Amino acid sequence: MIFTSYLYVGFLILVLGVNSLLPKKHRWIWLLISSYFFLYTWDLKFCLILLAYTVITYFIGVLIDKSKERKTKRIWLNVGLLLIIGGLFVFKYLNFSIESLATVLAFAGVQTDFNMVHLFLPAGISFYTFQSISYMVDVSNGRSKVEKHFGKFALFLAFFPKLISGPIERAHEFIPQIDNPTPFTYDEMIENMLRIGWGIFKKLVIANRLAVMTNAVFDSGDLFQFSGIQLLFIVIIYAFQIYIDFDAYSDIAIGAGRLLGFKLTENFKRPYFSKNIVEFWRRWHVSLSNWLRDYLFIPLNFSSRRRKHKQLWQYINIMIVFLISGIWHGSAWTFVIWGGLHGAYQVWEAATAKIRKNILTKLKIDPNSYGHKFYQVLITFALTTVAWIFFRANSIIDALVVGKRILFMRSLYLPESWIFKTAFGLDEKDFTLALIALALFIIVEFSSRRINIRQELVKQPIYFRWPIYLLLIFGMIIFGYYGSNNPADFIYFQF
Amino acid sequence: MYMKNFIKILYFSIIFIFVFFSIDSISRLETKTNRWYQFQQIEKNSLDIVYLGNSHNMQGIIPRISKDILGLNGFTLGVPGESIQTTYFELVELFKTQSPQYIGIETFTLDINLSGETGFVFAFTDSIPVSINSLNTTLQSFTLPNAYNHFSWIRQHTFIWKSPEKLFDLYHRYYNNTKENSSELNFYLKSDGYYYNDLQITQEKIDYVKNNEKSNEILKMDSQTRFYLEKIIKLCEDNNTQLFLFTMPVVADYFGYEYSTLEYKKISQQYNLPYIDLRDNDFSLIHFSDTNHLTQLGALRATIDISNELATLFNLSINKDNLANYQQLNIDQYTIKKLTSQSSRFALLSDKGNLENNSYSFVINYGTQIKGGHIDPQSNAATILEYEKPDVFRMTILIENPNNNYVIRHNIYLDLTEIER
Repeated sequence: MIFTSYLYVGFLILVLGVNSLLPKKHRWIWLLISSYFFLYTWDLKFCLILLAYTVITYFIGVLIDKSKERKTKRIWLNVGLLLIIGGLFVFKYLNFSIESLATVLAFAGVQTDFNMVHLFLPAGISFYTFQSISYMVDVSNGRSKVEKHFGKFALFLAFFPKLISGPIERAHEFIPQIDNPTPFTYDEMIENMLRIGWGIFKKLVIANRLAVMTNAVFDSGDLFQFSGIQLLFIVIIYAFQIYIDFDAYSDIAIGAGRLLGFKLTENFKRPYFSKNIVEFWRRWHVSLSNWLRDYLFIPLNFSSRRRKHKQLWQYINIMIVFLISGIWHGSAWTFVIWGGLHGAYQVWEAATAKIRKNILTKLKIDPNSYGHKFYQVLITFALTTVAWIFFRANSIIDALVVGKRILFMRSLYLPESWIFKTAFGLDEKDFTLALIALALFIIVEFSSRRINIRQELVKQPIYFRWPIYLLLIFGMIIFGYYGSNNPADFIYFQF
Repeated sequence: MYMKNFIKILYFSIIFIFVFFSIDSISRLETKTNRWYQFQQIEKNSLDIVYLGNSHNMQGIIPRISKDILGLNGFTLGVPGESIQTTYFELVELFKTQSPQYIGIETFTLDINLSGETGFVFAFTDSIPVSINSLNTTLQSFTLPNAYNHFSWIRQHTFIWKSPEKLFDLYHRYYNNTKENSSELNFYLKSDGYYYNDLQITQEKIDYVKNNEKSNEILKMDSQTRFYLEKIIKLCEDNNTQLFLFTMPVVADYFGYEYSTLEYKKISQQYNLPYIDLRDNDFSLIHFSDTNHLTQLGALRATIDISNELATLFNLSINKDNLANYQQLNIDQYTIKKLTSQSSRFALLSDKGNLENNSYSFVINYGTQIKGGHIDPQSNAATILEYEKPDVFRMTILIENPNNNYVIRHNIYLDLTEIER
């Protein structure tokens, strides 16, 4: 059940309606049933895997809690981590590992005949794996209380708005909300419905159209047919596509969660307005960044605090965190390189911070000037866009071809037919609409820096806001790119 | 406060529903030009025979011709990919205004079980007045994931925003779908439910289908199909209507039809229904627009055949003059011959040499570089055309028999590259 399907809209209305009629203390039952039903619409097997994860994490949590000695807690934690991460490895990385091993052995001159394992990838496994890990770690170090109610714990992992692609929630923040859902006013209800609507609009009208264009290039099988300027255009389009796609999903998830009484973590804070890569990761996929910081970077730094060359170890730790972030996104070397690039950017920023500051002082450049900030935003966007090439490309070779053709582009000539007639699988009207909708999105993003547009809209008089609501709904239906032509599910569903 | 918000939501919902259905009604103009809409314009109890089914018979039976031959006023009805369930609901609708003597059901409907599938049932439900029957039809085919199909403008959302000017065209078609305001050719092609298909299959397409798309799907008479067939039989008995089954021609071996033919015969024997199998006849390439639909030439032939069969089955009298005229109209094969080795002139010839019975005119499709076309009685050629560059051209031949004033539009692909070699 895709978030932008009519089926999901009907399902959400039903869940919200029944949920609001139930007494608070019994709502978890309904939400748990709904969440498992939601997953069942994808595949029954996915439900069984989630249930297995829930049982393992629940009992490991209880065992950790019951253990009085620190050593025993640690043993149970390690058992739990082994099982949970082992599961993720089998489903997501086994074939990748076999392939990589075969490649390495082939380089060494050893011919192998490994068989690939035909396994399915359970929807949302990367996300609930991280939530299971954080729960067990938090219980073992006392940050989170153990949840003894199995049903409520199961809801923590299975809650459908966040099940497939996050946000990655923490148990101590989520579970208390099950018994004490956050009430909302009428205006807040409308605001969150608007948020869901805007999310669906972004996905159907903008991201799906941009997906047609990027797919037409990256999946064409012959990247040499495109000129450097065309590839540059498409790479920028992809940077927007992936952001709008994931941001749209997050809007729908957070909006739905809020209507069910849960405050989920904000995942995006206008990341393309970041002035450096560190800031970018504070604004991009925030729940993942925080998770990596709390459960990987801080423990790594803690363990290397007494080593020599502390600064060097910190850089190594940054690289480790981002390489893991890359492999978390997908079992391919392109994702590893994507993570590695982001790690390298951050190391570079940290290592050259003083030098850059001195240069600015010597050149008498005001770091707070609008022009300098604009330059920083542009550079950061360029760096992230370069990394996206690896994220999207089907192979490292493809990514290098794209990069090379952009770097060594010979002409800025754009064929007229390419721009105005058909462009990458879209006809003239769809292409024009995609660009207009993208411009609208950028304007909304820019305006949201200072004001909350949804809150402001809710305050407007009825003759102003109702036509906008209607335009949004009918805009979705009329201009949406869906049905049999639907080019893409949410990108982050695959992770 | 609670009541105030409730009233606000109520008002908003009313406006939303009003806008929603206003747009929907505009986009439904298109379906109001379809055969179900045309069917409702017919005078009550004026039909003698109805050919009910799916695209096979809607593109394969020309009621006007069967009327000329048998004297029965006919109509061909149905929706594309029609299931037997939909056929039942259509019959209920049909008997509200008509009481035909004969109803034929095309057997492909028995192959399709659309329970839980929308199919093209909306082509029927969009065009009829709201009633218990239309509601039943919708419920029968309703599934949540396909619910949007029942709203015309959501189904056609791309068409609506990309070509808003076509809404005006629809409006024009809707309000001008009368003999006075429509071209005569279009009117008679559409007015009795027959759908003119302007495609023409090629041998390459048949070979491709045989090699790649051959399906093992064969008739599976499940309990639901049987249930609805029995309801249909009962409904026809109650209305004193003679029911018969018929099977339209398809390209040989398509969809395991050899097997299903035997099954259709068994079913017709089991329920004591007369059965006409038009696939027994020798249809050739020029009769098919694709693997299972007929060109107008094919439809002419199928209609002649079914008229003959009906006459035998039900002891009906045949107008022999009309039958002969239509048989003459039906050119069977043609060849293209280059007239001289030097020039770029070629001729279109009928293998049977019966071209002299009819008159011909030719429409050279846009974009071709063929110069003109005319009849050359001396060479017994239907046309002689000149072209500048060898290419594959599409040409429409309008064949007309002066005795029955009926025009056949037949599209052919002229592969002049082959001739050149």
